[in-house]
Amino acid sequence: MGKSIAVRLLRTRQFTVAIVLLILVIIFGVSTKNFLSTSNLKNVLLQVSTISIASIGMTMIIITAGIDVSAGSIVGVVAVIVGKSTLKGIPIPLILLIGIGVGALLGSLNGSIVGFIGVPPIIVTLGTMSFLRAMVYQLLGGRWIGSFPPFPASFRAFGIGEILGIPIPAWIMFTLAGVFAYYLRFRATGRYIYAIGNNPEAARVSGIPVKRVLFSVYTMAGILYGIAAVVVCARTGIVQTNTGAGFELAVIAATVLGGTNILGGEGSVVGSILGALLVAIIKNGMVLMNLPALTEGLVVGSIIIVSVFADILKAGRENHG
Amino acid sequence: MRRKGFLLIAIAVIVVLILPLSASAGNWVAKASKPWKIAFVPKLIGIPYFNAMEAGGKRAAKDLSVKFIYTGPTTASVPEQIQYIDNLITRGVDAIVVAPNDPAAITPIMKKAKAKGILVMTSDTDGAQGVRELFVNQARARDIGYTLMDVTAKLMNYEGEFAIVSGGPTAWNLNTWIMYQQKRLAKYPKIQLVTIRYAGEDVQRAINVGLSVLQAFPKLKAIVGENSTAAPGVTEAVKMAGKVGKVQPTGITVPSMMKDYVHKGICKAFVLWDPENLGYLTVWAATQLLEGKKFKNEEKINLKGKISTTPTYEAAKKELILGPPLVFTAKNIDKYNF
Repeated sequence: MGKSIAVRLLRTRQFTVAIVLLILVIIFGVSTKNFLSTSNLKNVLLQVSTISIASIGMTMIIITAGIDVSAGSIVGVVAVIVGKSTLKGIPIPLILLIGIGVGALLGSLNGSIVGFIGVPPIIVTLGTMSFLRAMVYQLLGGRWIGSFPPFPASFRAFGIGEILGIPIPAWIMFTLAGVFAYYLRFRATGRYIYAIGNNPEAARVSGIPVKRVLFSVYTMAGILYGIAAVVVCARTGIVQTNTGAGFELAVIAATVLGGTNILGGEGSVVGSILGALLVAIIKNGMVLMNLPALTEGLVVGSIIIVSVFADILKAGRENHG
Repeated sequence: MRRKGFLLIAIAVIVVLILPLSASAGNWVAKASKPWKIAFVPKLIGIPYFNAMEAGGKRAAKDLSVKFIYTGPTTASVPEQIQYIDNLITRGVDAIVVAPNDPAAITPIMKKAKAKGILVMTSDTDGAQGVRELFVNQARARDIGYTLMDVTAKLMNYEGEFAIVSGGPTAWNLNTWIMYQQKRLAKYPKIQLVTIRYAGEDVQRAINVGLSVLQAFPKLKAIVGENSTAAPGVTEAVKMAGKVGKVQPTGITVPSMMKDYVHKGICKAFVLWDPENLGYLTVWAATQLLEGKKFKNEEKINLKGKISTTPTYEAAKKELILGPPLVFTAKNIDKYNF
């Protein structure tokens, strides 16, 4: 049964999320007067960028049927090191390299244990999550940094600056999304990631270097968390002991909402970014409509469940009818 | 030991009655009869807030010739804190003051300490209510809420809309402060509270929520961050949204978070108390109780020159209250380094 591309597109989760997104944009756009203003749309882009950047890494990990709950702690450690380096007056390009480097190092720590030793990812990353959070406490010694003395404006630009009217974090997000969407779709190693998630044994037999690919997936994720941490640090201007705490849950939620199968084998970068956008737009729109704050979690949770449910219904129809 | 203290206090009282005295702190800050060992266990060590309390405690210990022991867990952990209290009991001290991580969980260990004849107190946060002899309270929740509302009202020139960004929706202290802010709001008929949002203990989330609130209410004149992360968060949001001067950020937070914003004129005033003075009062009060002093209801504690407030004792709650909260502005912020 050859289905046209259009029909297949209609069946994807990305499409469901995009439709829900569109409906919400219309609702919020009609019922509030500021939702579609340029400054508000910029806010939404800013709010979504760090989660989106990290969710690219999380998407790859979940496609391999893995999970990474240490993302928030990695962001925390990188933010502390980046923040401290900034205050020492280290030049900005070098700081970026430090952020990426530390992220890569911490990601590769997860990657080597998951890939080469073969410990289940949830156990490994639970371990590194608390280990690295403890490291944040040690490095900060309880003191928050960045508020006084403040980070230099040239560094803050990564979080609050704009190019051509679009916030710099959004540029970073779009660029990385483009690069990784291409990588996952068209590069052989990108396709290996899906193969491993679908059936690791078959992947190994067919000559895919499963261990090396797993190692590189967690390392790449680490790099992306590192970049996210630089943006977080530059944007908030403060590194606190719980910077990044709970961040991993928001990232996993965006990824899963965007159609990445928690059991592995399917998922896309575009979907995860749509997922992150959906959550951010709901939160933003609810404030603009001045709906009671305590119902926020209720609405976000319901939309996650409904969209996943819609997905299952569609899949059911496909299988049985 | 205590009886000797009574005697001394009796002599001291007689001396006070006989000598015509001015109301200087000298009478209140008498040297202790012996170098009492007074321990303070904060929620966690190594954060600016409790460092400031430690400094105050040390200063009091020096003035009163007592020994001050400052020790506690590195994270706000309930079992670890209990372990520290247990170790202090074994070590043998005269008083243990705790800022409990969990008000109920410390009750058994505080009972154990009391059974060993140790004076048990709480400071900063109350707990073990039936057991502890005294709670040294930084400020009444009502005073904090009222002061914050007054500061907000003044910043808004007594009219217009304002919003609150709080921490967790279940945080009891934050909710109590908000309740009192709303009570006080009745005094300002031209001011409306338009929304209350929650951003947890996370500066980045506070910025996000703050930015959305600024979009939602373009006429907003003030935005209040209710905890130590929300206040700098909403201030940063005001700065990012280009609304400096149009929207006044304020709230409850530590001065080190706000120094830069205050110097740049983005935030004009915010509220907290002085933890250094709280530390001083705590060690002072412990010494008085060890010396056998009994506080009277509504008694005013005169520690002029030592701390900047006049604490009062509330017998019904066995609480010693430091005083009204402090308003930080460009004028006084550089005096504080926590």
